[in-house]
Amino acid sequence: MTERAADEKTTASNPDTTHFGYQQVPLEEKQKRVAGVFDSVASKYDLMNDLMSMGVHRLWKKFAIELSGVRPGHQVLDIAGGTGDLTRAFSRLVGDTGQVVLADINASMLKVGRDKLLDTGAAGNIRFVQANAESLPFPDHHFDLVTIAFGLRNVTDKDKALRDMTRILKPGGRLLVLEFSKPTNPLMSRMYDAYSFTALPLMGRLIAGDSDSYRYLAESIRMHPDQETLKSMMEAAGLHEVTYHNMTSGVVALHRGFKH
Amino acid sequence: MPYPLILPAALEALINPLLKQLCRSPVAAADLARLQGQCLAIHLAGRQWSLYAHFDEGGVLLSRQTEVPVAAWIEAPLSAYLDWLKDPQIQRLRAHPQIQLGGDTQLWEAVQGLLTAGEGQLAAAIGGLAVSHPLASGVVSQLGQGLSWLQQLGRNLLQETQEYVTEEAAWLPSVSAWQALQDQQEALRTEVDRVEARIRRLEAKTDLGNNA
Ligand SMILES: C[S@@+](CC[C@H](N)C(=O)[O-])C[C@H]1O[C@@H](n2cnc3c(N)ncnc32)[C@H](O)[C@@H]1O
Repeated sequence: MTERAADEKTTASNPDTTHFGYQQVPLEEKQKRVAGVFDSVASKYDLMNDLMSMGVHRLWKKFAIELSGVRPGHQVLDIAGGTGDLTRAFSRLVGDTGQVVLADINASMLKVGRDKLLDTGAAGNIRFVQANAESLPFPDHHFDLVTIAFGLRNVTDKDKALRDMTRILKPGGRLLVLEFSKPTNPLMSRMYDAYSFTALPLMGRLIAGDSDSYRYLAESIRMHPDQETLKSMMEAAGLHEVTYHNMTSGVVALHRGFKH
Repeated sequence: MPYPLILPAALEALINPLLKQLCRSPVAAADLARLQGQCLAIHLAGRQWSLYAHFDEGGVLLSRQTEVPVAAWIEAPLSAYLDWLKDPQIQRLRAHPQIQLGGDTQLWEAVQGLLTAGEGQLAAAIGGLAVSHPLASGVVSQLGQGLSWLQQLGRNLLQETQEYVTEEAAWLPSVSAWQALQDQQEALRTEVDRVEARIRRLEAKTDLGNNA
């Protein structure tokens, strides 16, 4: 049984709850708790990202940029964009005639992102929007590219979010989902478990003074759909030619789908 | 995409801090401004290897593929690139029998300007990285440059880390702010306890009322 099937089963037996890491919580509670997690890590987010992934997250994101197909004049949405790493790169590629929207549900993350982008001199072609991925405040057929990097696992209703992201894409536009996934190599899988359930929360406590948020991170990664399940979810949302690329032995996968 | 992504990532990490430093001089800043918003393609002759450089005021973004239209391109074998990096004169670039240029070739003058700025620091650094790549391992004469590149990389990394830590330290709450937060948390807990107690009392009262 896939994780998603298991997920659906639990949700079916208890229709008003969803998972928050390994815990079952009421639906509306998840959003509040996710907000709490990102409120508490916002200011240390970039530093922790570098330490936790040993800098590899930069390569994962770089690969996403390569597959984005962004050109000058494009309209791009980076939803769950957090502190804006992808937004920064896209803003360079779309030029003055294009626009990038950095959207996030969490005001603290958005603020850190905005400050960081302003500090690096970017922002002329960037807009900042506080929004929930499940109900995006944008018109139909608007964006050439929508990306969600390390954000989908935090979204309560992923199917709804994927449908809404598809809605706002122009025909021919693409959706990129960069997310932790299922390691394809058993040795890597064991190393990764040991790392994320012991080293991560410890680092979280030492550096950000908050081990619970980082334990949530490890748990939410395990509850996230695997490569094939996410691919079918994207197809079900109406995307075509959905493919995925495993990176770092499947620790992270980049899914890409097109709207026809 | 036959070569590893770590290569453009490492080059970027090497070039951008150096560019930042070099652009304190108005001449180099003007060269970077000329390149701003442009995408330049660097092809390796004989192989299907390409590197695309997108320039903006923040530096350069390097990628192995792009859909951004290319403003200028260059194609040459690795040895010719190393020659150019050793002596980055635009005349040399134009006259080199193995180097081909295309598109808006004036943009390469701006690149050359950046390569020669600050006593050719950038050219030396990139040459060093190219040499440390296995492809160029035959070019032993470049080894010294490779070592100096490593030293430079070490210095850059150290400088970047120092800047990063200093910036991050500004985010850390002070001990007193932390204590104030704990006090407020404690006060909040007390308030919550109080509200809970009131609710319980109210519930008990309404139960009494209902039962009566
Ligand atoms: C792990 S961070 C990723 C940030 C950034 N994309 C990156 O790759 O560095 C996850 C982000 O998702 C945001 N998020 C969580 N749930 C969301 C939702 N339902 N809608 C929009 N953003 C959400 C969080 O606030 C947080 O900033």
